[in-house]
Amino acid sequence: MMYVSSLKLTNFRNFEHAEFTFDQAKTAIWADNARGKSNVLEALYFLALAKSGRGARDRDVLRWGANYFVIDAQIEREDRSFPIRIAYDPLVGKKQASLAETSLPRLSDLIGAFNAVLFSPEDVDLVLREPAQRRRILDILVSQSNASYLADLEGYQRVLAQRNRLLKDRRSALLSHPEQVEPWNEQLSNLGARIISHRLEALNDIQNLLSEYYRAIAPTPEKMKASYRSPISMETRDQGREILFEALTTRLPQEVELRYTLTGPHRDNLIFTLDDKAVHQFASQGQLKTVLLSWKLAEATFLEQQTGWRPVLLMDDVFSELDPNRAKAVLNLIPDFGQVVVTSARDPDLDFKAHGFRLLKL
Amino acid sequence: MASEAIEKLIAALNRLPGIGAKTARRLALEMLTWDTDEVRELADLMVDVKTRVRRCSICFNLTEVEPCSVCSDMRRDRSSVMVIDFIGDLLAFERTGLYRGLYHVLDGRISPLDGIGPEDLNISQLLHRLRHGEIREVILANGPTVEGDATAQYLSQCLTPFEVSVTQIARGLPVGSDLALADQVTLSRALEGRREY
Ligand SMILES: [Zn+2]
Repeated sequence: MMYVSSLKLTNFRNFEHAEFTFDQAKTAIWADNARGKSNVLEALYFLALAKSGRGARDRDVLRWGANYFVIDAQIEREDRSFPIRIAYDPLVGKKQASLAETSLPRLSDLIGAFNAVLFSPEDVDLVLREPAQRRRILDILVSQSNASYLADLEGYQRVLAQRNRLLKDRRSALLSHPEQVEPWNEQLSNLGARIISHRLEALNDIQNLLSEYYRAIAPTPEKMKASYRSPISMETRDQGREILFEALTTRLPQEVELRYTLTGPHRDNLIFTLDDKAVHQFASQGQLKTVLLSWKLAEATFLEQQTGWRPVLLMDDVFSELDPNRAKAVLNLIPDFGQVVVTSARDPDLDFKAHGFRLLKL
Repeated sequence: MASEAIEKLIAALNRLPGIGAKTARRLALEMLTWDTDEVRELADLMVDVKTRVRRCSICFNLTEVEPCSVCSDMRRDRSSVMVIDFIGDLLAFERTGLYRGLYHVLDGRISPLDGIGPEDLNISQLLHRLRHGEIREVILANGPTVEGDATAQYLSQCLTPFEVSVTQIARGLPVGSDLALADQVTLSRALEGRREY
């Protein structure tokens, strides 16, 4: 397993200086609201993604009036123990990560060194209702399990931005000189097909886990599924590349008109269904929470299967957000995971101590 | 403000890449401590470089003579031309001492986001060389970025009408890096591992 043994925050959110120690067991952070317990989880998740998992910009997580922030952590694995440090200086506009005291040339080099999964109740509506947010949680899942995926994704975003600029700037000139857009089509279809095939593989691997966790938590027996919607249906990566290249070529006149790229993984959709009905259209709040929670638990198990290391499971205010039956069901699943850190706003009905949690009062 | 003259110098130094306002100020103050002769020598050197160093009209290398020492060296393999993005890349390859052909410096990479299209690069001059020379092999050594790749792909389209073999250097290079910063071992491996485009 893999766990965080210590966390030191400097000028992060509400913390000027704060230090926390964790053992590999379960920890429940207990505090009144506005003491920043969610911020501790955000900082832990920062170590995995090199950015805020809540979508905040770096300068937004900077403590008010401070001119830098630092997150220091010590990570323990059976084979070794190493520190991670992330420091941000808004004056230089630069965030720097170092791993085992070696500073990394790029932030993305940090991804995969330490894996974590965060469940945050504020994500329930946002993530499940917005297509872009659903793509994002899928990308986070695949990135943490596959180092080359993130490089492909960054390359794809860059090529897409270049191609869209070309569509805006050259417009009709492109129709008489399509050779100018071809190099970008070539790269976009290459990277796009790789991205789609990695997403499909991951979704395929996670499907059974999703329905198992959903059934374990929900009081009703609907079947949960996650399906990928894309006009690029492909059996092999080469086939996907050809279809995507063809679509980029034939839709060029329309794209010149609209000034953006119409086909590719950036337009695909991830749909969660319960008994084949899309959750973002009909599901109740309780069902939505259970869907996201099942996704997160499945993500943790998937990451362990892919990397060989149990990721750290972070759950923000999860128990007060669930009805007692679902909360009990989640508590019963927790022993299957590695290090788990949960937060709780008030003294809950649930007895954390009886379930093996160490209490950390903030 | 110390004096108008020194503020002007600071502003001028500040225009150089990699020189921020702070460094520009430090350099300007440092120059004040030098002897007048030393400062004049530095100024002369700068003017000298500017008046004597030009771009080679064939390959766009930096040179004091026309054509440059690479283009006029009859011992080099004149049937092979390596296409690179920047002059720094040429210097990096020359340091390895392994490549004995000619060069062609594009002076950039295609990048719509920076307003750089194919017509802003020295591409027509390359095609002119192919039409009127003895070149049989083109080695694409554009940097390993998406812009470098797009430039290489665009060039390979332009090169199809010519009877030349087109190869691309192997990508043993760290992605997103600059050729000029790559170490010599990496560059020589990349050169050996080039493949048909
Ligand atoms: Zn020359």
